[in-house]
Amino acid sequence: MTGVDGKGQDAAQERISALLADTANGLETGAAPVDAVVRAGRRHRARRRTAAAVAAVVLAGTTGTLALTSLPGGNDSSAPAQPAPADGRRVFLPQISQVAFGTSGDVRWGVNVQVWSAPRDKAEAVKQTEAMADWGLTPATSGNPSELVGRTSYFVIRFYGPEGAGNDELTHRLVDSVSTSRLPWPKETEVEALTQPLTGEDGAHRLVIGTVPTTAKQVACHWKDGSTTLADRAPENSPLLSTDAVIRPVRGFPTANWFVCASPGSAAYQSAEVTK
Amino acid sequence: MGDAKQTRDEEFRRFVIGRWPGLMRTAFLLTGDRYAAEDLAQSTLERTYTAWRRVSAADEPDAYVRRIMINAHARKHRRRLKEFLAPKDDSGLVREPADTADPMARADDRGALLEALAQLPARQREAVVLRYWEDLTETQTARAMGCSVGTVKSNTAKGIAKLRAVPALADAVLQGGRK
Repeated sequence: MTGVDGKGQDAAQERISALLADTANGLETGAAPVDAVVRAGRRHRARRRTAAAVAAVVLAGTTGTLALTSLPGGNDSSAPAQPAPADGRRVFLPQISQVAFGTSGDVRWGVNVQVWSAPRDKAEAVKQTEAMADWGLTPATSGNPSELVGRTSYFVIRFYGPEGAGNDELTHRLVDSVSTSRLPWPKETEVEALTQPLTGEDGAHRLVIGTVPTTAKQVACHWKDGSTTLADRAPENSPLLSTDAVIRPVRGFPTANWFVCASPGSAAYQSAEVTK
Repeated sequence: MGDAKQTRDEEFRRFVIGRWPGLMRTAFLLTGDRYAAEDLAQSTLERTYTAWRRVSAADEPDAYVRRIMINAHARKHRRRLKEFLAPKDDSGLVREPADTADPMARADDRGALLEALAQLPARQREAVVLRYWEDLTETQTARAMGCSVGTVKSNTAKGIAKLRAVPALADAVLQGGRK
């Protein structure tokens, strides 16, 4: 690329062209970061797919036809999440459920859960691992795909970004990843909770994400400033609306419901309990 | 990994290796900074990866990638050009002994050019770099910038006029460079 096409250009343009070439060619470009590009490209593609799925769920929620009709019943924790035939298992594609979304100031936030059905054999496990990689996800194993056989994997993802931003512009962060032969099955008033910053990378852990028994109707999230946020179980098949707190079922996760609380102020998480 | 997918990945890897030096150099002229150039080139290729099926099937994959880069530059760097006004000591320019009579003067010319480019509005800079470094036609430049040929002509003319008016650069231009 010498940048001089000769005809119709005056001498000064040719000199500038030569200077551009001299400057550009003076740069030591180094080796192409092929692996980093591919890895990041996969993550980028995964974010786009996740964002598209999130958008689809949000759209379904706002139109009052939330696509969660196959969710387990509120009191029937033994009900299979996907009573579909074997070929309907979602081994190579995740089931994505958005648990909650809301706004804090001028920042939009949300939480979703991806569930990948258990592969039946090594071949399925290898293919599932590759599919997960396409989504930018790595299962919580030692790296041997065989470890996924018979194990359901789930990933908890939070996202945030400017209000009004396109889904592609949101930042997605993995909160937790688990591969297990038995999904958590909380009893009575058991609560498992994870905490995270709500709208960024640092700062007070104002976001609480957790599991509760499918019988739980209300969770109280207590904050360090003494305030409390109540998360009520959303009615079955109800629209997904902007909120500070809610309990919802997650597709592919029949043994527990998930709750999310967002601190309305700046206070961090202190504790959570089932109150109803 | 499926055969088709593996083949696509291998094609993409070869593409990255082959295009990296050129993309880095264009990105360097657009951003004026080695590290910003690496960011721009890498993010361009990451986006290319997500659209690789379309890119590899395109008649002119390079044009597609160039468009991605210009869009990324416009989005990420347009409002931050001032950050790159002054070339830094670690800007990435190789200071190897040159085969010219006056290597110090060459380095000065490069620095003056980067500084002058950094002071151009983003669209003028993009037009100048694409026309006089990438050696694109006005039509190709318009396609890369997503604008009309008339806009390319206007931005190029203004950009060149401003570069010629920069005293430190005018000297080199009048002397035909220092080669």
